[in-house]
Amino acid sequence: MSISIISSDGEPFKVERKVAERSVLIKNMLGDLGNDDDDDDESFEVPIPNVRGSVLQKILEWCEHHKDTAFPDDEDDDSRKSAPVEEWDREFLRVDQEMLYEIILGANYLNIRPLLDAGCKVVAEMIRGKTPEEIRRTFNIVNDFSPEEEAAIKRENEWAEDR
Amino acid sequence: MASLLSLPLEIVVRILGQLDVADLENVSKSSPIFEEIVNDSEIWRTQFKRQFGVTEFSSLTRSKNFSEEFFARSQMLRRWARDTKITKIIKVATFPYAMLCDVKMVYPRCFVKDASDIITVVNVSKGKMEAQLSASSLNGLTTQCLSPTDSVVGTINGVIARHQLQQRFYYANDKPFDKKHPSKVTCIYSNETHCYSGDDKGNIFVSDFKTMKVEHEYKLNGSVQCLKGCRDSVIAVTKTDMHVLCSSRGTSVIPFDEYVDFFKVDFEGEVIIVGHETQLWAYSFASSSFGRSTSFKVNGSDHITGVSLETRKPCDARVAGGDGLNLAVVTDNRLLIFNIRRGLDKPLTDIMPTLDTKRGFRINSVAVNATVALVGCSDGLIGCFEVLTGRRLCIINKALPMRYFGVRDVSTSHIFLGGNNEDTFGGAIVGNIMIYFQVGDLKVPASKKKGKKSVNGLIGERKNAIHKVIKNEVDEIDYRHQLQDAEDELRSRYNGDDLTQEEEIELAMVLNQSMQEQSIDNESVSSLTDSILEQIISDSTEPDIESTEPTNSSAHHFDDDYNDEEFERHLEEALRRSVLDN
Repeated sequence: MSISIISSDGEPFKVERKVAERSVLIKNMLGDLGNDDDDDDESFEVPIPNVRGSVLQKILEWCEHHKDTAFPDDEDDDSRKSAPVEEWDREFLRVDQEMLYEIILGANYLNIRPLLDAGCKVVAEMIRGKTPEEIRRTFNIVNDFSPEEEAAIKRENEWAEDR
Repeated sequence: MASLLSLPLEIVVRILGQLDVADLENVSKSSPIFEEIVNDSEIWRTQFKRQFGVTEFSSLTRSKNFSEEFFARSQMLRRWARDTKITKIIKVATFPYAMLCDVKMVYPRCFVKDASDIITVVNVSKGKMEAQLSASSLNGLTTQCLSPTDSVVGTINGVIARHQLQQRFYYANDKPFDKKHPSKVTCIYSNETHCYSGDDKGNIFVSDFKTMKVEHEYKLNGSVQCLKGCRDSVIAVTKTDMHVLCSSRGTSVIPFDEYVDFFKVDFEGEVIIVGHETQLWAYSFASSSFGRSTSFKVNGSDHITGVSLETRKPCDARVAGGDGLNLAVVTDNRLLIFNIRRGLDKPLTDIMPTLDTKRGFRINSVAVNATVALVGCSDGLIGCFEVLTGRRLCIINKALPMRYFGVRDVSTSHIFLGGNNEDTFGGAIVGNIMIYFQVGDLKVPASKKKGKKSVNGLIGERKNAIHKVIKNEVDEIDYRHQLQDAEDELRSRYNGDDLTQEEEIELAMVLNQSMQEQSIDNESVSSLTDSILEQIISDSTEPDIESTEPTNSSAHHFDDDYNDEEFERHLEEALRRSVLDN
C-alpha cells in the first residue's frame, strides 16, 4: 500500500507506508482505518492542510532517512533531551531559519517527536552563548524593551508577593 | 514570515528548556516576550510536571519560581549525565588490610578510618595518601566518631579525647576533654565545633572543641544508645525513648522502644529517621509539628540494607515544589526514594536499578541529595539515578578488577556525595580501596559562582527592591548567614589558620618537647628545632607569598597548603638528616 500525502498547496507526495508512519498523526489515521497490507494496489490520500509542499518534502526526506531508525521510547522524554543532535540531522537542518521553523511546526503538527526535538535543539544551540544583542540580531527581534519594562517589573513583583 | 517568536508557546518553551541557566539571562534580556516566558512560573510548572512527573519535591534552588528550579535542575542533570568523568582509585594501605569503615571528606582531603582504628588521610586532588595516624593512644576504646576536622574517641573508663585532623596536628597526641564520664562511653557524635557524648548511665555531655570544656549536660533515664547533635541541640535514643534536648527550647521526649539500626538526623530540616531492618520511622522535631511521625514498612521478607538522608538544608514550604528532604532506602536491590514532607507511605520513585555487571549484583550502600541518588554495588560499581523519575543518569565507574582485592565479591561499604546540592563529586569505599569521582565539568567554586550570579541576574537588580518588601525573609537569610560566618570563623580558629609567628614558634617548641619525651637524642632534636626556626624566620623575610603566586584557580588549593607543606617538608628533611648522622 502506498500513501499519498497532499500538502497545503495541493502537491501530492507518494511514500511507503513505513515512511509515512514516522508521523504519529498519520500512523493513527491509518490505524483507525484498519487497513491491512494485503491490498497493494490501494492508494491512500492524506491531506495535510498546514504544511507547504517544500516543507513537507523536507520532512518526508527526513522520514525516509530514518524509516528504520529505532528511537528511544516516547515516554523516556528526558534521555532524548540530553542526547546531542545526530550528525545527519544537524546537516539536514542546516537550512534558513524560516524553513527551520516551518519544519519544527510541521513536525509538531505531524507529531514526529524525534524531528521536533532535533529542531528545538538546533534552535537552542543558536541561542547558546550569545549576548542579548547577538540574540536579537540572530533572530531578528526588535528591541522594544523600554515601554514594556515596567510591566515586566510588575509581573515579577506579583509572583514574589503572592506567596 | 515565520520567526522564533511566532512559534507556538509550547515549542518556544521546548526550545528554551534546552538552555542552561547562564543563557537564560541573555534570552530574557533580548526581548520582553522572552522575559515574560522565562519568568513565568506557571509555564515552567507545567513543563516541570511534564518532564519530571511531579510538582512536589525537594527543591534544589530554594527559589519560589518554578522556572529557576526547572533550569537549574535540568542543568544539574545534564552535568551528571555527561560523559566526562574523573575517577581516582586510591588504594588505602592499612595493615593487615583491615576493612575501611568510616569516611569523612573536606575537599581536597579525605579521612578514612579502618577497623583497626587507623586513620588514613588521602588527598583526592593529588590522588594519593598523605598520612596515616592512629585514632588514639588511649586503651579500651568503646566508641569513636570521625568528623571533618577531628576524630573523637571514648573509652571504657569514661575518658573522651580528641585528635585534630588538621595537617599540623597529624602526629600530635590526642587530647582528653576536661570532664570524664562516670561510666563507659557508649556513643559519640562530633561536628566541626562540638562533641556530643553519651554514656552507660544516661549522661550526655556537649563539649566545645575550643575550650575542651563541657557546655551542656543532660541526664537521661537509661543507657544512651545513639545520639546526634548540632549546636545546642542533641537527639539521643535510649532503650525506651527518643530525647530531643535543646538548651534554649528545653527537653522533649518521643516514646520509641524499637531496635535501632539506622539513625539519621537532619537538624536544619528537623527530621529524625530511625528504624531497623524491617521498618523505618520519620519523626519531626520542628516546633510546629513536634512528634508527628510517618513510617515505612517493607513488604514480606525484604530487608532494609541502606538508608540515606539528604542533609543540611532548612526546609521551606513556600518554595516552588514545596520542598522537603529526600530519603533513599534500599531494600533487597530496590531503590526507594521518599520525600519526607510527603510522608513515607508513597515513594516518589521505586526502581530496581540495573547496572551492567557480570557477577552477582547487590546494592550495598546509597547516598542521596536533591537531584540524584547514588547506589554503590558489589565490585565497586556506582550507579547514578535521578531522584524524581528514577532514570539512570550514568554509571560512574566500572567494576574494579579482582586483583585489587584478592577476595571475591567486594562490597561498596560507604558512598558519599559532596556536601552541597550543586556538587557533582563524591566518593566511595570498596574493600580497602577508596574511589573519588567528579562528574561533568570539574566542580570548582568558579563554576558554582557563575551559576549563582546568573540566577541573580535573571531575576534582575530590580528584584532587590522586591527584597525590601519581603524584608522579614531577608532577615531570616541574613541571620542564617551570620550563623554560617560565625561557624566559619570558629572553624578557622580551631584549625589554627590564623596562627601568628609567635604561635608557630611556640608550636615548634612543643613539638620539640614531645620529641624529647619520645627519647630521640638531643642533637637531632636541636638540629630539627633550629631548622624549623630558621625556616620560619626565612619565611618571614621573604616577600608575601600570596601576591607572587599566580592566582589562577588550579593553584588555589596549593596556596592554602603552602605553609603547611613547606613546614612538613622541612620537618621531614630534618628528621632524615638526623637519622643519617647517626
